[in-house]
Amino acid sequence: MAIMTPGERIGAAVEMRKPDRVPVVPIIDFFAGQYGGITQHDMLFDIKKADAALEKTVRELGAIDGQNLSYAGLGRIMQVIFPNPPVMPGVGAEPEDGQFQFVEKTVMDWEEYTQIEERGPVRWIVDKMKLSNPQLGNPVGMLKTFAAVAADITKARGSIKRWRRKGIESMVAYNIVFTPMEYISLFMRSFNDFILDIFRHPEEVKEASRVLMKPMKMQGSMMVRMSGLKRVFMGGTRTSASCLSPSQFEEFALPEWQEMCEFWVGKGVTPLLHFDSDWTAFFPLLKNLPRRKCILNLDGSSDIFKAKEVLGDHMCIMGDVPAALLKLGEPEEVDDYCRRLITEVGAGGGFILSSGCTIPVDARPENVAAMLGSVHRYTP
Amino acid sequence: MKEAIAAMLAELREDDTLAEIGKALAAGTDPLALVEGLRDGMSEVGRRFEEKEYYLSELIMSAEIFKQAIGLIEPRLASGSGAPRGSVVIGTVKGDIHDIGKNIVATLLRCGGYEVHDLGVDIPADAFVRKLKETGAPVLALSGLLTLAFDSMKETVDSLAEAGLRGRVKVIIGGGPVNDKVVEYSGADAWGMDASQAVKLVGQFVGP
Repeated sequence: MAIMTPGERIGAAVEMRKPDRVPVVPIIDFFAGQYGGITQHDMLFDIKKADAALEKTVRELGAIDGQNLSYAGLGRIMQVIFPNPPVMPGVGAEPEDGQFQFVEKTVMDWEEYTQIEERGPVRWIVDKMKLSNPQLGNPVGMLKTFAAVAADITKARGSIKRWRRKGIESMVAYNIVFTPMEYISLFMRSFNDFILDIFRHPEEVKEASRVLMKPMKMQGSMMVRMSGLKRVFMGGTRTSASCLSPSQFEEFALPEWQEMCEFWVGKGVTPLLHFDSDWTAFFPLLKNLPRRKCILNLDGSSDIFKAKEVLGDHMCIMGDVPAALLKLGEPEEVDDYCRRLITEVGAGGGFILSSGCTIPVDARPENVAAMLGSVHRYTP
Repeated sequence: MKEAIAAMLAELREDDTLAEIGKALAAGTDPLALVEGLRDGMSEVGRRFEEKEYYLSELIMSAEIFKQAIGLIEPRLASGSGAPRGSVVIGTVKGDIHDIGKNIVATLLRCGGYEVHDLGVDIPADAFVRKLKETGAPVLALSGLLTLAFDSMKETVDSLAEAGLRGRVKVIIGGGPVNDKVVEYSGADAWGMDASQAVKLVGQFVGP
């Protein structure tokens, strides 16, 4: 088979054809920042330094075909767009080389579920963003903030193009979209309150889901336009089988995932379903998502071999070298796990080798090298 | 009465459970019998969780009902009655602020009758040592979601040894990426894949 470019290789895997070899597309920037000698703060806020760190990493540890989600240079954007901003290294009292982490916090009462439509969903979201970004409360502050965000997005877009010229694709860059329930649970109600709402206020939760669907799609469409990439990263964890029962998933979450995926597929955009936690029990239900149009990206908590069995003909599978293995394992163990992934999950095509969620910041470099090199050692 | 309460709780009927508790208390039922009914209900929830009839959401809801029901009963309990089964110190280790799993384990342990000393998140090793000395708790439960937490877990276990506590304190760990390798690396005694397993481990170490 003729040698493919990284873009062709990834494209073939996504379309469930056989590429010349399995593409490797990790989330690598946290690790690359550390390996490349910059702080985590610089990785998130200075894309030039982040790019230089990644360049050193791939030069010394092995080539990649693409980056999965990239956080490089997105620090300021995440501070603004998330109503409940993550803890950021070098921001506030956090050390420059600290760890990026999401915070569990309730910023809405359950009664608000039915008030979103009246307020207008976009205005309601902006109201929540103002809680941590009070400058959005006045027109000048809002203008300045969004101008800064736009500047960072422009820089990130420039980075995407530069990496493509160097032979590294961006899968999704900053095209991040949430389903309404994932969004509510992660940023608005906290996990515990959201779960209780499902039992106590089921109709109100569904009402909020219906109303928030439009702004979620709008935000994603804007990102797709700005990035020029025809893929979106859809994070899922709070609606996984680690949290909900199959009947709850079918009643509450599956309709959202279906609607969202069908929307993107209808626009020619590929949903990359980045599913953290354990989704194994829901694999049969994921057959309700558009056939051969989505990427199922698992983090090491789900049974990826079972995914191949149940969904191997339905969607491209991506994953899932576990974070603990990359930190604590030996290179031979990493190699062995990657071999299994490539030969078993990669059989027949439709597989992309990736890290289980992110390559951890403290992964052993020799383990990362073993993972990146495995695609050249093994064939499906 | 006791059986009815257990069944209502196991079926996650929040309003019915609380109403039944209220009725029973008004009728002068022994509050300890009601607590037993609730514990039986929680045991049934645990059984269903293990059988995969219930998922985490059901565990959380059952714990919420239990907490409210106990809140109704507590004022009627004579002081000294219903002594805890044992005590546990719990927290998310230094450098990690994730608390969902830790909170669920703490809640289920309380439902199971254990006295829980929850130190919160981002807890340095010396704070765990101080609390273990102060309380005499025989179990330390450490949580973490980041791989950086593995180092903090190891540091905490080492600090226990330095403080001379390792012989009398069992250490259990949990969190997304935790597995056997992390137990070996950190020097802990065991790990739990989910909150239900964590409660079981505590039962093994403290006594059921």
